[in-house]
Amino acid sequence: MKPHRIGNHIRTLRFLCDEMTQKELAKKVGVTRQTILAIEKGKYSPSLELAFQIAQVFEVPLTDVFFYEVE
Amino acid sequence: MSYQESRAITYLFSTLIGAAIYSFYVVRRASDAGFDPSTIDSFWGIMTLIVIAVTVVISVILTVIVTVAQAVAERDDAPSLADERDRLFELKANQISFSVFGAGFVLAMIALAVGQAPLIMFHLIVYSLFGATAAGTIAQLTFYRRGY
Repeated sequence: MKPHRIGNHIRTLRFLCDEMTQKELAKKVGVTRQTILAIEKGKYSPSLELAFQIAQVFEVPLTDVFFYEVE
Repeated sequence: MSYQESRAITYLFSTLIGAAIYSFYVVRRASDAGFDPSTIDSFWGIMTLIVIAVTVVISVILTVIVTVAQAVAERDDAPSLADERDRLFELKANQISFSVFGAGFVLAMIALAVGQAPLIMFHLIVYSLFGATAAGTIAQLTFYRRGY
């Protein structure tokens, strides 16, 4: 299996949402700010449930937040 | 450094202090007193329980100090919940801890089986407990630092 990476556009989406802070997003989806930071940096792949919750906060489809790429 | 990382370092530090107390105080005191290694009496049980209690107290005190210091330095509250990432890392760390302790326990049984003194077996079990805690904490710290 080829190495893969789950990337995201959370930073951009936060910016478009009136510069929403990581802390605000974390509070809305019920995780810590450190987890949002880790997801943004690609150091942690969230569960499907959390991924959907994040997409729901930004009111966009899941694929607009996360993308899957084979390296 | 995040709260989770500093908490892990605190646990690691208190585990090392506990292991050091056991090695340099309990074991040395027993060998100075000329304990018979072929028997394990209540002394070892009591001393091990005391070392565990001291380690827990040190860990609590250090955690409070580190949490307060970090809250003052970063002006950010400590996370009040453990989320899915924390639980996943804890689970993975526990797996590693169990493996290390299991290996230590088997080693202790092998030592007993080949005719080593029961005290050697006891030390191996106690050290594998410290080793398991340290390994789990290092794993947790690595997961937080490098990601998973």
